[in-house]
Order: sequence, then structure tokens, then C-alpha cells
Amino acid sequence: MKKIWLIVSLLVFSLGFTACGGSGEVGGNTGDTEMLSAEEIKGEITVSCYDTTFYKAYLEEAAQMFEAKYPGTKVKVETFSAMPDVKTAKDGDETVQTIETQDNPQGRADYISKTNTALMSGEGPDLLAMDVLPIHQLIAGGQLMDLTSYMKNDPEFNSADYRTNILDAVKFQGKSYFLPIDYMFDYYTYDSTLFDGAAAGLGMKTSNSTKKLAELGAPSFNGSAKLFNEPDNVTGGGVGVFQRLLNEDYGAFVDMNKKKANFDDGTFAQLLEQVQEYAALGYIPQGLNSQMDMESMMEQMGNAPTDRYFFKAKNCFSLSQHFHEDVTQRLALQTGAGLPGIEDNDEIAGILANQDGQVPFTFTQAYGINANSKNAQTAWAFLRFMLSEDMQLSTSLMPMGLPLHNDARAQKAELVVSGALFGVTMEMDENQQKTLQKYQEALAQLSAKINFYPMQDTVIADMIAAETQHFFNGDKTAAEVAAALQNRVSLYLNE
Amino acid sequence: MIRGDVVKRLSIPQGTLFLLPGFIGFFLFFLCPFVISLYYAFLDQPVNGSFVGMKNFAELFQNKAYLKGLGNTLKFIAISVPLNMALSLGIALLRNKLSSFKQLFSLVFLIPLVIPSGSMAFFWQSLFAYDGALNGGLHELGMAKINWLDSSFALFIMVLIFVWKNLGYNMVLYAAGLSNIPKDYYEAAWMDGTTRLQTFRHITWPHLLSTSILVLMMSIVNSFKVFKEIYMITGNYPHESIYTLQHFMNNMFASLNYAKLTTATTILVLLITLFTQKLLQLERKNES
Repeated sequence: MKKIWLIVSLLVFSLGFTACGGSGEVGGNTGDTEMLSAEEIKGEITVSCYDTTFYKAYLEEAAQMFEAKYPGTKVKVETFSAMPDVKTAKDGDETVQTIETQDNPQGRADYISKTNTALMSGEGPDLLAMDVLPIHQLIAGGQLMDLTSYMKNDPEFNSADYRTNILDAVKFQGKSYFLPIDYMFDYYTYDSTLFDGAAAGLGMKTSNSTKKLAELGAPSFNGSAKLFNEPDNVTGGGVGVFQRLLNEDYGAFVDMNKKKANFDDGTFAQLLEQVQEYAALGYIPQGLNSQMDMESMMEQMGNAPTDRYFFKAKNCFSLSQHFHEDVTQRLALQTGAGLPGIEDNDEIAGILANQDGQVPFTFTQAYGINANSKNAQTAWAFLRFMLSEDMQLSTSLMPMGLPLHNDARAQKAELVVSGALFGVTMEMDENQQKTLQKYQEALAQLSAKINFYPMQDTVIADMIAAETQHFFNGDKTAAEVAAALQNRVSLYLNE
Repeated sequence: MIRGDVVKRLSIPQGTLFLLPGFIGFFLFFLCPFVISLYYAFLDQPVNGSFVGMKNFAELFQNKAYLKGLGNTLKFIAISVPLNMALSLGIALLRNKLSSFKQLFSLVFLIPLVIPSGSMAFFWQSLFAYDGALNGGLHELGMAKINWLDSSFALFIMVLIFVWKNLGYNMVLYAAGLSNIPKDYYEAAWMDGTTRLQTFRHITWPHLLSTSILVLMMSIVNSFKVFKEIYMITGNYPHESIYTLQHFMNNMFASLNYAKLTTATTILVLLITLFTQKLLQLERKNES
């Protein structure tokens, strides 16, 4: 027996010393490039993303153009999710087309597991889309390359051409591990016939949280109109008032750096109860989720255009509507999680901020380079290519995203105002020129406030979504949900 | 015939040949992976990793989730294994007393062994879920619903599932042990006028000691297998009272934290090896 142990011990130590001979590099490689010449851009790279619906067309278009620009390169695009179901039906003389996308948590988990396994064995795609992957874990595990050196030393990449506050916001401990292709932000509007926003200090130059607006609007609320246009809780990754309040105070509940959860001090339970109270007081519309019967849902959707709301949460894509004279174009630009309601008297209340005053943003696409990529130079060149002015104006990108490239953003603004983005091609008249100018000013003012990327952990987000559903279904009390989350998130963070 | 000649010429004992396939399987599928995992336990990360000595082990013993999992696993074993052994021995003794329906009696306890884990998990979940059958019953009686799987009750549900699943297996082992005790001993004891308790204490138990050691080892091994059902019912982050070492290791595998996973595995293998070694020593002592 002793002999066997001796052999095992010797084996362990010999293996250990073999390991000593490794590179010893921890926390991912850095793009050690002095100059990136065209000769170094060659060979095959693989780009991988989970989403097929929005990523595939753009990546394939970019790959084709990149291969044409750099002969000798090959970009392999891998996507995993199923394409959405497109159904066409006749409604009288009209043809109605519905697109159904199915959320597939298992498929997502399988993709993450598959990608992680490949990365941990030193393999995996060269370029990784940050659509569903746990960014925090990848960075902490050294799986993503620090792109700072590439960004600094590549003569074909100039940070000043992009929104630098966005580039700064995605930095983690001073390093850039991934780059977004575009960005999006949310802002609030107020109905000036219901609420004197200007007197309350709201406007383009301000940033406000949902909680602050609720406090401002509550004294004027008399039940004739709702306070917000979003429901209490939206399932399947949507945004309701609960998700807004949670995101705005996320740092108080989860501290990723200190690995600490804080759901059980009563604040989280209060948040849940507050949302429930908002619904009971009539501040918000009834949830448009699976809990609602079809008849009520149709009735609510039918009434929605004539409903009035004190505050409406909107996506940045709607921003130009405030400066359009043309009503049709204004309506075409309405976006957001909530119900549209009457828009005539809406004024910009300011960009959405969290409780700490940080102004967050999201993106439709972002990419990082595998720290063990065998062809990192070409992967970086492809990422840089996707960030180029031409590619940022691709119609394959989701229209809601704002290009990161300053010139591309200015051009896209023109396409939005002229209607060219929606297939209308005509010369801009004087009014449209004025609209464009005002829109670009507003875009610049609001975008300049962005200073934060909420890097939320997908596992914790799934835990919160699953547990809080019990509260909104009436299965558990707020305190029970908070206790369960404290337990689960703590276990996860402590692992 | 030719094969037989080769064996004779090489003077390989036949027993060794019979053991060889098993040994090759053990070497390839258990020993090699363990040695490889041992290698990773001394690195900081699997790719481009550096040798970090005992750092991973030191860190693991400061990891709250690991300590929670270790504590819960030991607690679960301490409750469920003796309970399971006592119940299965009782049932085996009861079965021995039966003059008819012996097979049917055994079959009832053996059924859980052949039910697939998925069906079993579905059944327990339907029973203990917040809107499950048990809470439905409580509601009918005008009582408040209980979060069975999300409270300290969860540990007892885990014990229940383990006992329900393993009772039959241990009962068979004990029944085999009981059938090996010569009937003459009991007749002699009966002639001497001993009580049932005295008979059990001085005849049955001493003769079942080897069987009990086997049952104990198998129960401990099986106690780790209950994770499958618990995982199916409560997911990878259950109530903290039923978060076991397997949850920790499974989650480390899912997040591909090889350093923690392999370190935890190494410690577990060492603990089980030492424990089994002690039990086998005890068995040998009993035999001699």
C-alpha cells in the first residue's frame, strides 16, 4: 500500500513540475501588437454566437466583405438558436404575418456549456459574441483577450472615431475585453398635460430613475391616467416596472466583486411589494404576461392607443419622433417595452439612470476575442472591420442600435429622419433638416451621459426571474422570495 | 486450446486473467481520470496553468459554498445511513418471519430500484411542490401551505427519498446475511430460554457484522447517488440545507472551474478511501 502511495505521490509531483514549465500567464493574453500589417491578416477564423435571428445575416455579410477585402482569409460563422417561426395568415383582404421567437433556456445553457468546454480546453471560436455568454466569468477566468493593446497600437483603429464614453464603460478593471458594435439606451418622457415636468426639473439634460419619477408623479396622480406605461413584471426577458426598479438598484442586492448577496435585509421584499402596490394603486397597467387571460390582454391592447401615462419609458430609437412633424413617421418610431398611449404631449424627461446616478446602456451585438485564439490578429482585424463606418451602417444590424462609430451614427440619423431606413427615398426638406439637427443634438446630449455597462450575471438573472415569478403568481410572499434568493445567490457567489 | 497453452506457457494465473478486463476498465475509466484530475488540482487554471502547490486546497477550505456542501453531506450521511440501515435490517428481520407472501413483500421494497430517476423526480416534485399534492391536502384541511423544498424540511425530504430508494437494496443484503446464520444457533438459544433481544444481540448481530459493514459502505456510496433525484427536483442551487458536495462539484463542472472541481474531487476520494480502508480493517478484525 505504501509503495502505491509513493508512486502516486511521485507522479503528482512530477506532473506538478511539468506544469511549472507552462507559460505562467494568468488572466488572458493581451493583444501584443505593435503594428498590424495586411500580411498578418490571413487564415481562417471562427465567429460564434448563440442568436441566429439577428446575428447571422450581419455576420455573414461582414464575413463576405472581409474575405473580399483581405484575400486569403476565411470567416466561419457559427450560430446556434433556431430561426423564428414565420406564419402568414389571411385576414379578409389583408395578409398578416406573425413572427414567433421561442425562448429556449436549455438551448442557451447547452450553448454556454459547449463554448465554455471548448474555451477551457484551449480551443473554441476565435471571436465570441457576448449575446448569452457569462461575460463576468469569461473575464475572471482569463478566457477573453485584453484588446487594449490592439486598440492603442493598430493604426487603422482610432478610439476617437467612436463614442469614447461607451468604450470606457465596457472596460473591466481598466481593460477592454469586448467591444460593442452599437449601443442603446432608454429614456423617459412625460405627458405635459398631466404633469409639469419642466417645473419638476425634468428635461433633456437630466438623468432620472424610475423610483424618482414615481415619487415626483405620485402627488399629481388621481387615477385618470396611469403613472407608467409598463406592466408590473414581464416574463421571458422583457422589461416591466419590476425589472426597471431592480436594475436601478441592482448593486444594492448583488456585489459581484465582494461576492455578496443582500436580498434579505428587507429592501428587496420592499421593492417587490412596492411594484405590487403600484399595480394596486393603478399606477401601472396590468401585466401583459402569461398570467393574463387573452380577453383582458386584447382589451388592454385595444385601449392602449387612447390611454394616457404620466411617464413613458422609451428606447433611443424613438428619440427622433419628438422632433418629427410627420405623424406617420412619429408613430413608426415608437419603441419600448410598454404600451404606447397618446403621444401628442410627450416631452423628454431625461435619460434613464440607476439609483446611484449611473447611466446604463445595452447593445445589440458585442464581441470579444478568445484568449487562446490561434489567429488573434485576423480575429481583431475582423472585429475592427465590423466596427468600421460601412459595416455599422449595414441594414442587417438591428435598426434600434446606434452605431458606435461617430460618422456612421450621424449618417444613420440622416437615414432615420429622411425615412430611407424604412425604404422611403427622397431629398430632405428644410423641416427635415431642422429635425435632423435637433435629433442629433438630443442624441449627443443623452449619449454623452452614458457611463455604465450593467454586467449582470446571467445565472443570477435567471434565479431572480424564476423566484420573483412565484411572487407575481401569488405563490410566495415577498419575504419568502427574498429569503430564497438570498440563499441561492449567496451559494452561487460563494462557490 | 491454443489460448490455454499460451496461458500455461506464460504461467499467468487464471484468476488474474479473469480480473484483467475489470482492472483495464478501472485503470482507463477511474484511475487515469483521477490522476489527470489530480494534476489539475495543483494548477491555477487548466489552460496555460501554473503550478500553485497546495493553494487550491487551502482556498477550498476557505470556500463557504464548499464547506456548506461538505457539512450538509456529512449531516445527510449521519442521518440517512444509520436510519436506512436500521429500517432495512428491521424489514429483513420482518421478512424472515413471514411464512407466506415473502416474495411479494420483497418486491414492494425493490420496486423503487427499477423506477427511472426522471419518473421518481416527477413523483416527488408533484408531491412536495408548493402547489403540489401535499400542500393541496393541507389547503383542503384549512392549513397553511409549506415550502417543503425551499425550507429546512428539504433535508428530511432528501432523507426520505434516499431511504425509499435504498431500503430494498439493503434489505436484500441483510436477508442474504440472515440466511447464512445457522438455524441451530437460534434453536439452541430458544432451548436456553433467551429473550428475542438477547437472541438478536448475541447471535443475529454478531453474525451480521460483515454484512453490516458492506451495507454501510454501499449506503455511503449510494448516499452520493441521491444527488441525481435532488438535482432533478430542485436544480443546481437548492435550499441551503440540501446543497451537497455534488452540487458544488456539478456547478464547478458547469462553470468549468477545473481547479476547484478537481481539488474537491481529490479530497472526496481521499476521504472515501480512508473511510473504506478503516471499514475493511474492521471487517478483517471481525473475521479473525
